Amino acid sequence: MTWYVLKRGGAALIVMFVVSLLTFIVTRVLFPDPAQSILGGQGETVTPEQVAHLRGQLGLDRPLSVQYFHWLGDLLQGNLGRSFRTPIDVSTAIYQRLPVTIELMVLALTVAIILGMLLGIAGALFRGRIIDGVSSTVSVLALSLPNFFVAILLIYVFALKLQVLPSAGWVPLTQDIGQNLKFMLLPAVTLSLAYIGTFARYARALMIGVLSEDYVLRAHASGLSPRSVIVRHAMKNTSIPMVTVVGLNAAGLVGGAVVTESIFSLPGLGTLFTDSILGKDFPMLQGLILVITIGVVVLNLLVDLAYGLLDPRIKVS
Amino acid sequence: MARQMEIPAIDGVRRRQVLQAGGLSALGLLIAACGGGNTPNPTINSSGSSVAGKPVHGGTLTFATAMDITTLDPAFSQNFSERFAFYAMYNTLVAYDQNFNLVPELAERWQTSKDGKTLTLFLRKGVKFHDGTPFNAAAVKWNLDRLLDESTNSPLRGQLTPPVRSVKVVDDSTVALDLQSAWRPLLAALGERPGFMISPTAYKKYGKDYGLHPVGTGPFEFVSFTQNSSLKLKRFDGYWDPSHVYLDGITFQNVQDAQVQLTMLRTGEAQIADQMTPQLATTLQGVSSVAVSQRPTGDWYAMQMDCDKPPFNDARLRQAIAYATNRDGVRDALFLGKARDAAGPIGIGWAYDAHDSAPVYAYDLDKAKALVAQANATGKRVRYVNSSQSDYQSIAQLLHEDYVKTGLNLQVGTVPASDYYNSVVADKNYWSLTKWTPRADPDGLLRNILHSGSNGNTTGYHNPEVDRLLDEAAGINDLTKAAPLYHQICRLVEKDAPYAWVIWPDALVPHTTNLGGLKLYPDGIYRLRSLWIAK
Repeated sequence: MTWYVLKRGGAALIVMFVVSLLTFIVTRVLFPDPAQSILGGQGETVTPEQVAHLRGQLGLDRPLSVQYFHWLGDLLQGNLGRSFRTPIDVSTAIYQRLPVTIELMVLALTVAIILGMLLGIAGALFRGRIIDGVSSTVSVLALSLPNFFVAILLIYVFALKLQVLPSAGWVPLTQDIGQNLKFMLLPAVTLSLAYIGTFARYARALMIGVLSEDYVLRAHASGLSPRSVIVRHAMKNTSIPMVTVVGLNAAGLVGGAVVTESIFSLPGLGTLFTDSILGKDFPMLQGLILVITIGVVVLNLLVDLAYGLLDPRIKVS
Repeated sequence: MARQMEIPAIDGVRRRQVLQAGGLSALGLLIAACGGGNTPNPTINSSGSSVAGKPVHGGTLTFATAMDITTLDPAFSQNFSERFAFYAMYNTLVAYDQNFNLVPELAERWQTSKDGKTLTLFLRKGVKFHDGTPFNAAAVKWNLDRLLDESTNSPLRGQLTPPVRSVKVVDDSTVALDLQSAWRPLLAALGERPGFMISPTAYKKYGKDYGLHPVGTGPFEFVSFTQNSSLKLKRFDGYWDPSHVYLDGITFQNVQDAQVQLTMLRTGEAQIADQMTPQLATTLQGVSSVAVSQRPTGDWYAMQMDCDKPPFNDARLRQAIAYATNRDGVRDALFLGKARDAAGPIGIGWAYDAHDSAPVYAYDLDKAKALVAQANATGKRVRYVNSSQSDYQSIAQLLHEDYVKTGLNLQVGTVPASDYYNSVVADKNYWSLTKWTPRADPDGLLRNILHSGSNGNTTGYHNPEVDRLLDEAAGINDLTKAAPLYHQICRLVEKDAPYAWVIWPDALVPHTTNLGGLKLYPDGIYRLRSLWIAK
């Protein structure tokens, strides 16, 4: 087990190195020199000397390889560098925003798992009947509606018409949990929608497969209540592949968080990410991509480890 | 897109009433109002837009804004909405009114020496920074020296030098700026970003982190800032002009989406917002709690063409494009009439020439075709590059139709909005659409884009007479004497047509109807400091 974690950790390090190298090359090659735009876009009277001075300050005048190893050296000392744009260290900025995105993702995932499983299992149990049709329709709708549209729709209904939830804004969790959840509810539901659809489709298919297995038939035959058969035998066996599905999709939540955070004005990693791309804030971008890569790698590792817990027959080695 | 004014022109009925009452076209009225050199106030006040009456004290204003604040240090400020915050937290040395005329702020009065080479500022006494330290001549010198210091590398340095050579403390409340030459635009610059005075003590305390710990002399002091989320300010009890401050606090709430901003106004979660288009404004008809204030601006969109390389080094082709520019079409179809056809680079302020408001090359496709034929360019391939930004896209799409009819063979390219200006500066395109916002002094923008020695002259335009007039006009302090020179510059440039000016859009500011004290400025920057909320 320890050996396994170490092996996976080593592989993760290689992944992170490659990702950071790719990020570095892509930003430096594809983006125009940020010095000009940092000093002033349209309207500022900036001289070429000033641009050159700034390039020197930011180290942009050095060869790419030197810049990269400089960054890597700092990283090994735990220093992610300083933002080109905002007077703040990259690590501080990420540390301030990470909790918002994690909270949003956890809430969205929780909503998606609960509703998705219920919807899917209902569809499987009443296969071919009206409930199944409703389940399929709802999940396909949830899957296909783009989240920016859903967000505006939810704001229209809950903020403007019913006036029960705020349109946009945020309060730190540590300051006021109730207020924080009020602000988080619409974004979490928005973000979860597509996943409700995905999870429901998988849950239905998996459940149908499991229900036709011999051991389910045996369980019924031995006189167990239908409830017990479904909860203790069928659901348990759908949970392993579901964990894989959830794990794989959780990584994609980061993408959805970008759009959701921006519409509901949540100060999470998503908005920081878009701003850093538009502002060509290279150190911030590299820091963010590194943190997100670590997040995805850790998530995958957790999924693998969860198999062992759910099914004693699987040994991680 | 738009941002500044004071008539409730969105409501069709009210607008018509204004027209009937005035017996003028709204356009004529507005132009008349903002044209004259010394007209004190170019806005039309009419009831209904924001509350009139006695200001009410108390309450916290929420401003729903597509906030792009990255720093609160004016020396490194790049983004538009940062200045909304600056005008609430800081004071400038001088200020300007709604027609770009200078008025006192931290400097109670100023004096230019006979030769124009010394500018003396007489400072207001008894002013304190939010940290309790005094604002005085030494603080002014420290602030200006910091911007002038090369090692600071502030983008604002270029606005001060030339002409500023040094800053001297005369006594505790007097500073003298020693100039290389007489330079009128300097004073106006002291009403903009270079003029915001920060606390030297606070800067020394926070160092490179100052941008997140701002300390000024303004009516509101800093409470907290979370990038992309919110900026919170509270009333500063030691403010020197307390009688014009009514709010207890101001919250900048980041809301990018215009529709969500409007929802917040309608639910009362916010009182003022900053994203509004003429199309969205029409959706507010019948909503009694939200109004849109409107005011002409000097912002402009124009086609820019490189005068120093083919194909547009042939003046006839530039003129053809100017003739083929359907300004009325853009005004009516895209701005729903909430804009003015642009004749040239100055559309507002004391240097605007109200008698020269018609474009030199007014829309005439036949003349455009003839010029293209004369230049032997019929069927010639011409590449047009545009920004991906939606306002640029819609304007270009509308104009494209007519440009094709001139006989030119148009090819269209698109560049992502965030890289667009860089690609223009790098001179990668010879024909593109551009948008500019005027500075308080006309020299600021005109020198940048038209003077042959400027880095911002992206069209390669070179007219020695324009250079000479720009230099001469900048040395004249008397606005009534400087204005005719700017009129002359405008006429020369319009004739040479490095730009084909398209439109001067009006600013549109959405707000709740219980908001009082709203004044809109031609630079499009919101001044939130004297707003109040009716109970």
